[in-house]
Amino acid sequence: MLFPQPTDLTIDEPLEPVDAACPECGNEAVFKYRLVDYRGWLRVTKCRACLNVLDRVRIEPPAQGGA
Amino acid sequence: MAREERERALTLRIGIDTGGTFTDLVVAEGDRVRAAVKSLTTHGDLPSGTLNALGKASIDGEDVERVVHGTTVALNAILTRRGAQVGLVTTMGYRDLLDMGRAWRPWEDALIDPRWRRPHELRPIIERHRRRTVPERVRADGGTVVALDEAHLLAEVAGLVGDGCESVAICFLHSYKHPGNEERAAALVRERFPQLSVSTSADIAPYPREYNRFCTCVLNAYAQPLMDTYTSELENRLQGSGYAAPLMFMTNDGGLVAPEQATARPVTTLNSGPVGGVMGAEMYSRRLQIPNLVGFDMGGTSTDVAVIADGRASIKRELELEHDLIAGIPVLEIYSIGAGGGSIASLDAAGGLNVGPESAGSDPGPACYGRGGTSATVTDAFLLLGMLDPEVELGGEIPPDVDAAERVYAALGDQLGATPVDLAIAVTEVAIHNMAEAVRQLTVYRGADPREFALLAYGAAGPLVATQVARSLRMPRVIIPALAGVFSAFGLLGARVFEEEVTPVMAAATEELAAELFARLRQSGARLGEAPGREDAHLEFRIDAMYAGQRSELEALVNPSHPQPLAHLRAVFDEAHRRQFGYTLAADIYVSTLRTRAVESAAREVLPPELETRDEGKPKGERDIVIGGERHQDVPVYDWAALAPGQRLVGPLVVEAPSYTAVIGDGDVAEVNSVGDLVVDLREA
Amino acid sequence: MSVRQEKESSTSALSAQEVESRYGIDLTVAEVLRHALRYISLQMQLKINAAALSPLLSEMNDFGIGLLGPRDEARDLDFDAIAMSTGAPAHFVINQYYARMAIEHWGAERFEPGDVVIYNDPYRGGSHVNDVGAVMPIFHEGRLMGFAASITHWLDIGGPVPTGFGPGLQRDVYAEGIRLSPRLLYKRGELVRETVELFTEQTRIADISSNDLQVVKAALQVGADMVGHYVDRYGPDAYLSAVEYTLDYSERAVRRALLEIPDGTYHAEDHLDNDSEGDPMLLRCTVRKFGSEIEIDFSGSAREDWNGYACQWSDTVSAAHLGLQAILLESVPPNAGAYRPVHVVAPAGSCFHALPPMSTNSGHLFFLVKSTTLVKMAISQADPKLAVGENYDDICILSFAGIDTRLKHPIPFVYIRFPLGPFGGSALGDGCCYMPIEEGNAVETSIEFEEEAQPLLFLEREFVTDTAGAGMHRGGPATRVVIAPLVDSESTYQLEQCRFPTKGAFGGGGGSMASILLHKGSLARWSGLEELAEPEVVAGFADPDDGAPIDPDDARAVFRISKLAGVHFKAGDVIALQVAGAGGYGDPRERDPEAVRRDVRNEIVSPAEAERLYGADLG
Repeated sequence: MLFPQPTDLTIDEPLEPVDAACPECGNEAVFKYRLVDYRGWLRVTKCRACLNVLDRVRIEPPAQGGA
Repeated sequence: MAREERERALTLRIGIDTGGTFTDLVVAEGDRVRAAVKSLTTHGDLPSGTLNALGKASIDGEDVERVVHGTTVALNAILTRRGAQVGLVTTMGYRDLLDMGRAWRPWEDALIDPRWRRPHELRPIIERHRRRTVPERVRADGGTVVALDEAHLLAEVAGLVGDGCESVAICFLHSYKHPGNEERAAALVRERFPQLSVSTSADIAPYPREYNRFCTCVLNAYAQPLMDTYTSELENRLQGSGYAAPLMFMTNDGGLVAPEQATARPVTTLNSGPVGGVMGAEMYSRRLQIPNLVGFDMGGTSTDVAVIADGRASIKRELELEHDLIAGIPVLEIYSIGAGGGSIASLDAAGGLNVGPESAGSDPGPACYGRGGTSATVTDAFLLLGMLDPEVELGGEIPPDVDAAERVYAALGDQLGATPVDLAIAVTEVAIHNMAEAVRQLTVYRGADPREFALLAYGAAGPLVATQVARSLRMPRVIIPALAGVFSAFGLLGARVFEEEVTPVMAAATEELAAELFARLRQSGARLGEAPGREDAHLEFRIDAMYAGQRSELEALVNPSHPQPLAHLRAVFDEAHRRQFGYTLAADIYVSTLRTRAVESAAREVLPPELETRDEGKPKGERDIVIGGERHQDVPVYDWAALAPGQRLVGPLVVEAPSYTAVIGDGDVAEVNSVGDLVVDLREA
Repeated sequence: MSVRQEKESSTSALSAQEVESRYGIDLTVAEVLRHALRYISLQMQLKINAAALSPLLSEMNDFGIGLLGPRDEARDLDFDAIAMSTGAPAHFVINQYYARMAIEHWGAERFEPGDVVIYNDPYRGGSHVNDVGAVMPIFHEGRLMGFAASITHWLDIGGPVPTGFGPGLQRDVYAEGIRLSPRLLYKRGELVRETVELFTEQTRIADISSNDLQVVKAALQVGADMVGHYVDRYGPDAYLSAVEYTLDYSERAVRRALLEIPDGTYHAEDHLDNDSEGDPMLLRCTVRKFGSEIEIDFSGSAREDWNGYACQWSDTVSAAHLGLQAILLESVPPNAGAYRPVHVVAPAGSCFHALPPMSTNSGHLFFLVKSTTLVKMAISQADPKLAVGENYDDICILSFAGIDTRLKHPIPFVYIRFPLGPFGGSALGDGCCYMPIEEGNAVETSIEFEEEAQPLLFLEREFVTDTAGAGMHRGGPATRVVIAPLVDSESTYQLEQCRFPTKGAFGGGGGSMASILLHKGSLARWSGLEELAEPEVVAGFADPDDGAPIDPDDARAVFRISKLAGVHFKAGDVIALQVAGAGGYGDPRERDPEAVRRDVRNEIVSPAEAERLYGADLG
């Protein structure tokens, strides 16, 4: 699996808006996105204001080495 | 002088170890210790403390053959930054090595600390404006790149003198092998500025590695004027008081030097007290025929560990005083950890329990000293656990304040919801495991099995914890020497005078080169052996070498008359490497230096006095005590002075001697030998 | 219990009773084993220091080694790092990803006692192909108690460029050297010859490799044996409980430190000097901190570029953790517990998260350091107590390779140097003048040894006047290193801050910029104490006409790429590499006048600059 160089000059992590307020702080800055915790990759639903994680799913990364 | 006359008149040898709190003195007559005393060290006027100790031992100066001295004068001058006004003259382009050190941060304290600063930046020995460079440069092969600019040199030194410098270090690249420019510079400076103290790097530390050599030379220049004052004053005061016998100083590598040499090379005496203990351990290794021995000295602020393997103390290439402030010369290896009686137990914000390296020192000291100390120390824990007698003065001086110890442990315990005794157990266990780890550093991690070593415990607190440390390492035997409380002073008596010649090499050994090196060693031996007064001397030949590709030297003893030089060289080096690191390599052997040593051969074995035959000692009392986390009731307490030779004692028990207390674990068997050493066989762990 | 309450409870110290009830061991056992784990990893490190032949391992500490726990859901253990040595801190966190992915690829159930599995594919949670990972299982009576794991930087790993760092020459991952998926190095204690041969036949360091592969195993064995010792003594359950306790302890320590940082969102922006075309690369970092949670986000950073201008996500994450650990005032024993409160966003396809087949060999160094720097820069804004000025901000490289003709039988030589530099000022004081970046903790090698071993002359290593960023507490000054090859040589260099000065904190000034200058054929002049030939800019801003150094603000100035491999220098050339000066902290006008006088006396600051920057009246 090979990738070309991206055409955008800068890269953002895509944030998928979630239609819900944070149950902890009530803020609506809740998004679904990918991040890395100490064990590896997660897809989280997380409040960007108080960093409360509403949901987390571990992503099992494919070996990217061509195997 | 006729031989018998000399023997009649001069029979006493004296070892004096001036420590931070006590000046210890041991007197031997022939091979027997006659007296051992402790006297308070007199800071500000050290010779007085020495004379006090001599007075306590009531010795007639005329009977004294030799006085051997371990001193911390040079060490303290450096640690407290009370040395001389000193300047540095060095090779162009290298003004800042002292502030660069060897670049790395200390592992434990500052591994990723962006705010860390080097000790020499914070407390410089030589500030940058007194570090001057001169045009001068040779290549590794000795070829000149830039000739020494003599006029420039003298102008820089004149500037330093004008700025108040009383001592100067001259440090040039590659000088250990090509000392010409340093020697020439020193001669010019001495001629022009005869009052100036001059140290040159190749003279003080004739070994490769510029930073190590320069730093050593700078420390020497820094301590030199103070050492000069001390040695001459001590000699005068001793002579004035009737002690005309030669005064010798103990060196870091276990030798003895005359005052003139100690004065010229104070860096060789930096560790001279603790090295006395290692020499004592070597003597015990020989006398008890225990070739593998770990010397274990627990003091107030630290615990020092040394290893005797196959009867010889292990050697290290440098002595570190502060991070990267080092004396880069061979020293008897002593591994020190910040865990002693005064070490402070603390809880961090996350609830972790740490013991040391902060220490309550001796003032105010542990809470139980009753001098206002509010920190929970290891000594306080020992008191709460009954390891120390609440009725007996600490160090023979200080009545323990048990309530104070309990208060500080209660205060700390409250944060944890632990009783003072439970917390004291945890603190003691963590401290003991830290100490065991220090022993592992010098054994397990080098491929040596501690189960093949005995633990020799000394210092005021060593015998308290020895059996517990040994048990956690599964060491089968603990020795508590009769003179454990003054062991370093005792060990000083085992040292011998030697002179050493060092020749740099820096090449991989071939058949041809090995033969040439052996010839050079033989020549060097002949030169040293022919010097006046060396009739009895025996010669030792060492190579400092490494496997090609390695970057740290290791010494090995060679026989330069061996018919197969290269094969012999490989065999002895492989063996030395195996002993130090636990393995060998098939690589070439790269020789860094040759060293020839002429050692005085008079035997220097000294024993504690024989115990008189008498009835077996009975316990003088009993108390509750916690050993290894287990509570024991009514543990018998013996007075060491009442023990009989051959007496066998089964633990748990306590032995109280004038200058130490020994705790023997449950089921351990202690036997008192003819001189009062306790030889303890540990119950199977 | 709500999530929030759980977080608060995980920041409070435990009582002795809580330790007992939560972990089933008493405080003494918990604390003895917590300290023991740290010691074991240190001893594993010392084994490598003592026995390795590669100077990167023996002296420069460019490796990480430590212990992992087992997988045990009930205890919340999942091959987590439980103790890391103090080798290169860059490897603290990465060891977990690298080892875990290797263990999973190999199959945890396939391990047998005495096995060692080795791997170096950076796209499996690694860093770059030179970083060779290895794991050894730790068994106790047939039960898997965890792993000993290491990452060791191999001096050469094959491929077109000696030492492996080939900025501009290694377009993609296929041009980097050998790349191994996890495989056995030892099978039940027996060395697997074919695996060793990959190293002896495909790298330039056959002898070093065959020794050092065995050293890695010996060091892992030290860890396995010592764990065995403690498991024997306290029992496997007490051991695992102590592992849990130790991880929770580090988590508490980090969370407590995080609570001290004011809540908020902090932004930092920086640049890498150039991409493969020579244009600056924009780097961004946003730190969101609330309570004892923190999220570090590299969104908005430049896209990855060919030829080495990208790094692995695992590198970025590891370095971001390092930036956080570095800037906290308390040091926390590095283990998985300490990493629990941290989330990192590393957008795929950015320079901080390479997608195959990008080459990450050189970028490993650039972006690793920048990731750490950005995190420190962002958190510096949160509290003056925490702030530090920027350090020299690079793992610089200058290497020389050629034929040593000084000998009767000329032999090839490969020499690599990592020039070191200064750190920034902080609330506590001035910055250190000279030490390695936080990622590594190298010991400076001896010039006398280097000049014996290589046909190179090291003419100078000295501080440079007026390079330190000004401040109430100034940054450390730049160091200039001058080297002359005695034979024609091929070189690689990587140097940062040749285009952008380092930044100060809280009103402190930036330090001087870095550069590499070439004085052609000037060794003879140097020997004669004459002026060196006019310098030609190798890396930094140059006059396009003659290559001479030029004011960066001059409209004619062109920037010469500060990272390149395959550059040729002639015998007798004089090459001067100067790292950046470090940033200052606080308003320079508030600097203690005595400190200014000391700097002037010591020629760290010139009298003119003392007056201009500090308003010093030197009378």
